[in-house]
Amino acid sequence: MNIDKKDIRIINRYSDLSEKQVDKILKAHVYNSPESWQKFLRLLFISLGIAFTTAGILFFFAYNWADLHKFIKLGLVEGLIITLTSVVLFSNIKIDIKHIIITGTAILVGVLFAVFGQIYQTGANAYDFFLGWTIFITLWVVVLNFPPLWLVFITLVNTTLILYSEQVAHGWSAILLSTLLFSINLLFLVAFIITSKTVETIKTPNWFLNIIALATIVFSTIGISISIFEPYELATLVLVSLSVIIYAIGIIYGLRAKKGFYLSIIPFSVIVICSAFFIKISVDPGMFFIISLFIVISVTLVIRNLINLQKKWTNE
Amino acid sequence: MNKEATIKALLENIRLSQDDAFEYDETAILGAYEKSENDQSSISIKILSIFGGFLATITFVAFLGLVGFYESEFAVLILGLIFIVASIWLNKKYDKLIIDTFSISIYIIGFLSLAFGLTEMHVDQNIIAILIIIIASISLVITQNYLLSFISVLMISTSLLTLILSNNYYDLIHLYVGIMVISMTYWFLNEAKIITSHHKLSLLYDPVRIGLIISLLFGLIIVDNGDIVPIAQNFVWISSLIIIPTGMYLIHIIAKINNIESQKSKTLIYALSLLIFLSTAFSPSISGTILILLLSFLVNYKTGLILGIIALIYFICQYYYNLSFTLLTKSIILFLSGVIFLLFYLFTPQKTVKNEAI
Repeated sequence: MNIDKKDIRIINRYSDLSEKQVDKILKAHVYNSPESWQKFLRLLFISLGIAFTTAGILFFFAYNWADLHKFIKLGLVEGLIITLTSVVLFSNIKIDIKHIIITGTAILVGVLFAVFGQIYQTGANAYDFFLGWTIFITLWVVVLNFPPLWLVFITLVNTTLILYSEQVAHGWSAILLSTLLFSINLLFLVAFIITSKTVETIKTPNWFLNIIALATIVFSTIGISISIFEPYELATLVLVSLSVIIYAIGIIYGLRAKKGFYLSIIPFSVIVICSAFFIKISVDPGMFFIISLFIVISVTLVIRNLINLQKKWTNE
Repeated sequence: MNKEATIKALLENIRLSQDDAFEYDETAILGAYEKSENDQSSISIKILSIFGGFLATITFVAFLGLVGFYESEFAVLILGLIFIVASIWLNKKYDKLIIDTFSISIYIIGFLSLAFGLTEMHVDQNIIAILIIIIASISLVITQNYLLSFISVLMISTSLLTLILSNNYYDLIHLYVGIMVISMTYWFLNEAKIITSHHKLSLLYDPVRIGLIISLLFGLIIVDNGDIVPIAQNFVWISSLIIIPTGMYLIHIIAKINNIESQKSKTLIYALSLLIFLSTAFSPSISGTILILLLSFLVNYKTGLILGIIALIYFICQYYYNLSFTLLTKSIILFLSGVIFLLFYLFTPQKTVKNEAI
């Protein structure tokens, strides 16, 4: 049976357990065992080892970079990528270590594109640099299905889009950009939720889904808050109506799947948007007083509902 | 199995695992479970309370500024005091999760107004800082609400930092780091002692623990970053005088947990760990963060572990960025440390009980 910290706290309060006894329970049930220490240390060492060695090699070439022929420059990074992928393909190390190595290699692909950009003067900030990087790691990302690698990939997709709007699509408004970012992250989120529900072999960790959900809702919140102060455009209509539908679905999903996280970020986003709307109505001192009251009361109500729901869920 | 049966089985389980008998009040325990269920806090609720509290604070401070309330320093001072007392009283009277957002915002507004009012009245900064430390400490004694206690700990540590920085005793920052390292290590390693000693301390245990970690990180960031505060760069290692012995003591404890018996592997572990710690002597922020990591893993504290990992990555990047060596020397140092870590990896056995800790 599992004894967690909370149990120990409560039992400790209403019993005469001695310090020694509590210490014994903590060590047996809460603290990490020698086995988990070994796992932790191995993971720590391999991550630090790979990170430092690769950084060392990169710094070495950065040192006499200017003198190297461009063939050698590109060849070196490519060689490193090929070596690492061969290690993954042909050795029998553990699968989670292989995942970490490929994640490192995916970063190296970015370095390769940066070197390419430097040699041929395409500019390191250009969106096509990120686009190339994104496209060329897509296959690994999909095949490996390793959450940290997915995070790298999704960050790249978002960065590419933001840079594209800055460097190429000058006509895009901030609202249109937010709408696109919102939709893309939303697509990822929905796809992950559906695959983890339907395909049994694919397990997606909760923290990963929560990060994507958070990114999605940050974009809709920013977009709608901006649109309150900007003149109307078509993207506003799309963003607002899409958000209304998605928020409603999110709340229903949160209630059905018992996900407190969705039930807290969606109302909070609505509270922020309402506050922005109040500021639009008036910037009187009185309005700020009303907004602060509104935030306190609405957040408190949300929390009260969450507590009641949790209570209901644990008793079911 | 229903709740009552679960708890009874739990108590039975604990009784079996103990050599000595122990007495407990079963009805009180059942009641406490019932109450904790009604007031169960999850991480989403905590974050919601904090963000809501901050947003409300910002808008309320904007309101006070717009109505010109800050022109009367006396009124601000009184408001500050009233708010602080009100939030402590509210928490004492109704120890409920749902008032958290409200009490946090008026607690923070209270301290901000108090400090602002006193500054406008030209009270000495040292006195303000000391006053804040005293008020925050009193609040820790009166109410043990999680978030309020956490904020109080941060108030105390930032006031200590203000005392050091506003008097230009910059090098005392090492003393601050030292005190934080020792208190944090003591707090982590003596959980059983602290929670059995007093009911209030057992409630304060969690918020103070996270508060101490963040307070230490504040100190480490200042030590690490010569741009914020002019610390004598030649004496940065002074912090290490406390961090390294503490780290070695921790290695000793970890080696014990991992049942390392043979004299040879013991010597090897201590020597290599000392080597790693000594190599960071001039960047105490890295060794300090390693302490946070090891302690958090030791007691299986996930939030601390995540904070430690993020801080470690940040400090290592800063370290190599600030190094005034040529790229060649940097690359050799990085490569060699990488190889050492890989060796560690190879020598950490996978399943045997005897293993190498760090």
